[in-house]
Parts: sequence; structure tokens; C-alpha cells
Amino acid sequence: MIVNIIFGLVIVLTVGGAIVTVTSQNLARAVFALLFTFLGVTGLYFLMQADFIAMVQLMVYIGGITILLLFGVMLTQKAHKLKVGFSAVNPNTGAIISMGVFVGLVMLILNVDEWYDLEFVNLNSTISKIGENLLGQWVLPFEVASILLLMALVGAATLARRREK
Amino acid sequence: MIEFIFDLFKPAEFPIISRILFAVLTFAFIGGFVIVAVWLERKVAAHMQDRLGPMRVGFHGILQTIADTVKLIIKEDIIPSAADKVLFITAPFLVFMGAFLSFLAIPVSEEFTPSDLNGGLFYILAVSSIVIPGLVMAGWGSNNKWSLFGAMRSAAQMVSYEIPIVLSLLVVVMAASSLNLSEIVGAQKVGLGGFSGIAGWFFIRNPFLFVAFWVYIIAGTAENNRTPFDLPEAESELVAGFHTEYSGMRFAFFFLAEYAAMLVMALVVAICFMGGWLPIIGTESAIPGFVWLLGKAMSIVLLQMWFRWTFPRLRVDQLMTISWKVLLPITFVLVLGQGVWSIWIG
Repeated sequence: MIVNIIFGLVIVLTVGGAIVTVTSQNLARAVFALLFTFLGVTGLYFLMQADFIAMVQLMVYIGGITILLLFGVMLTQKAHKLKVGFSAVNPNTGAIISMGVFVGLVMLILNVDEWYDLEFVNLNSTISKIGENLLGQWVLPFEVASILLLMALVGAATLARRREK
Repeated sequence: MIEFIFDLFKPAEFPIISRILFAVLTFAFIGGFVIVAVWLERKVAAHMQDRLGPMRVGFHGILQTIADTVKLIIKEDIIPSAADKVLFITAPFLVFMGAFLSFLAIPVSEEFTPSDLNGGLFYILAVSSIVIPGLVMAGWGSNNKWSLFGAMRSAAQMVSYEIPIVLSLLVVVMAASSLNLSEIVGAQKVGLGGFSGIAGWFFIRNPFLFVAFWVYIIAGTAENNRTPFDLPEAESELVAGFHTEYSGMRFAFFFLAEYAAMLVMALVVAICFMGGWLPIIGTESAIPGFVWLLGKAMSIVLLQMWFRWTFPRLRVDQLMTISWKVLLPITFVLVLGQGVWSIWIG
């Protein structure tokens, strides 16, 4: 009962934020609305007892991506006067692709044989299991991903540095 | 009747009411702490400058902050006509939420933790990142150059100092081999050579943890935008930074959030480095655990106040140099050293 109410609130936050993000003509407001969508998705993860993913969502999307977008908006010249229009580019292709994605997702949901009930999946410690898997069975992909991120970091620092002599 | 009131706090019997009660009590506790802390800060400042500070309202001015709070509540709520009203109104609550949610994972004593999360430490770090977009929202919504500059400075500063914070706490996580805050405290019960009490506390367990303790205190002070790292609200340059346009209750919420964040940082230091609810000598004591925890946290709060009235404000480039060129390399060495220490010495 209480879970359903919370679920409803989280859905309102997520979908409402997404709608404002798409329809807002003010660039800064769109970014802040996206922040609430991210918060809603975090709530969804918490409701599904995926605590680790929820915290990563907070850390990466709210602490990282939103800030990056905000800096992008603020470093844009005259961002507050910029009006984001609704002029559609390639409406037919867009409609076909989004309908296709929607139908595909619905098909996927309808084809699931067995739904797990949260009452029975008692994940006591997701974090230690994720840690063991990352440094056990999947250590090679994990390390490759770290090297990729390190390369991106060094690359970004080099690009940012080039201008000053 | 009294039994019924106690029953209201049991989540098993009143799942909704008990949780609302906990939230309200936490809010009341933060409010009480802020009232005491603001008075304390003014007193500490006054005595360090050889003044008396507030003296008139109550004994040694102890009721001064309550009078100030009443004034803030009944003040006119002004919203600038050029401001983006939706953002302007939402921002203070978002900023306060970041600090308020952290209290969910704080283990108050051995018997009681509001929510004993397995990734409690990670949760606190993740939740406090909500503050940054909140500050930028306040700065942008105010439609004021000073506010915007303050907000951008604070965003850049907090993003930079998050990295030394995470890495210095990683040293603690490696020493305790757990992200659970109760288990981190539990790991500090017995130290090297089987001594309990203060010998078990992490900040004197080995040289790496000792340095990590100071790195966390420096980076945590910067994360809370407190002097000497208060560039986002530097009075002499930016009027009051991101909250220049705020007044009345909305301004009070920024104030609450700032002091609540300070308390969270002090509580994290007390839990991760100073043994949480554990007493100074032995493992048992007549004084209850939450008194120990609060006492340790208050000593860190006093240390931050001492910083504020001792050090001059840094320049922006010095601020960034400290984070990226001093603290970051130090924490890399600490993580490596703690790994070696954990494997060979224990």
C-alpha cells in the first residue's frame, strides 16, 4: 500500500521531469527538470532494492552529468535569452524510430515468463557481491574499462592544457 | 499512554507513522543543533578576537539565536521580479535535502541506526552531491551576477574536493574492509597489540590513516564552503554569493543546510576516524554511545570554527592547486600504502 503510493510519487517525478525537459523553452529549466527525472529514477532503483545502482545513479548522473550540462549551459553566450524551439527535424523518421523502440519494449515486457517478486529476492548485500564479481570473474573487463577511463582523463587534461603556453 | 507513544516509534507496528516521526525528530534535532552552533560560532569568534560576543539575550546571549530565528521567520519573503521563480523557490529545499538525507545512514549507537545500509558511507557521499545542482539552481534562479559567480565557484570547488574526500575515505574503507558505517565503527574496537579504547581509533592506527584524517578534514571543510575555502560566498568580492537575493525563511534554509552539512561532515569524521560511539578507554562505559558520538562530532565542529577565525581566505588558483596538486597525489600514496599495510602488517 505505502509502496504503491511512493511508486506513484516517484513516477510522477520521473515522467513529469522528462516532459518538462522536452517541452521547456528555457535551456536552464530543461536541465534542472532533467535533474528531477534522475532523482525519480534513483527512487525507482531504491524501490527495487538495488541500493548500489541507486547510489551510483545519484553520484554519476546528479553529481556528474547534471553539473556538466549546467556548466555547458552557463558557459554558453546569452543562454538565458536562448529560446529552444519546437521545429521538428525529420518528423517521419523520428516517429518511426520512437514507435519501433516503444513496440520493442512492450514486446519485451509482455514476453517475460516469470516476474521476480521483491519479497522473495532477499539481496542482503549487493555491494559485496558486486565487488567480488568485479575483482574475481570479471577482473579483465573491469581493468580494460579502467584503462579506457584513464585514457579519456589524460586526453581531456591534454586538450584543456593546450591553449595556455 | 507513555507506552503507546513509545510504540509509535516501532516500524513493525506503525510503518508510516514511525518513519514520519523519525524524520520530524531529525529535523528538530538539526534545528536545535543549528541554534546552538550559530551561538557557539559567534562566541568562539568573539573570544578569539578578544570581544564578548552576544551577551544581552539570556545567560551569555544563549537565547540570541532563537531571537534571530524568530526575526527570520516573520521577515518579509522577497522574490526578485527578474528571478526565475520556480528555480528560486525550489533551490533552498534541494540544498537542504542533500544534508538532511545523510542523517538516514548515521549509526547513532551500537543498538540504533536509522537505516543500517550496507553501503552507508557511499550513500552519504552520493546523497550530498544533490547539494551542488541545488546551489547552481539558486545562483541561476536569482538572475544576479554575484549569485551566478558564487554558484559556479561553489560547483567547481565541490566537484574538485569530492575526489580527495572519496579517496581519503577509501583508505578507511580498506582498513575496515567494509562500507557499512556500523562495521567501520566495530573495526575500531581493538587496535594494534590488543589495546581497546583510543588505541583502536583509526586516526592513530597507522601513518596512512593519520594523514587521511587530516586530508579529509581539509577537503571536508572545503566541501562545506567554510573559511578558508569560502570563495563561493566571499563577502568582499561577491556580496553573499549564491544566496545574495534570498531573505527570510528561504535564507534560513540555506543557513540550516550549511550547518547541517557541517554536522554531517563532523559525524563522518567521528565515525570513520574517531571510533563513533566507542568510549575513549575500554569498550564499555556508563555514558551512552550517542553522547560519545555527539561529543566527538562537536569537537570537530569546534575545530572548523577555529579554522574559520584563524586562516585567511584562499585565492581561486590556490584553492584548485591544493585540491589537484597537493591533496590528490597524497591520497593516491595513502591508498597504495594502506593496501600494503593491510596485507603485511594488519
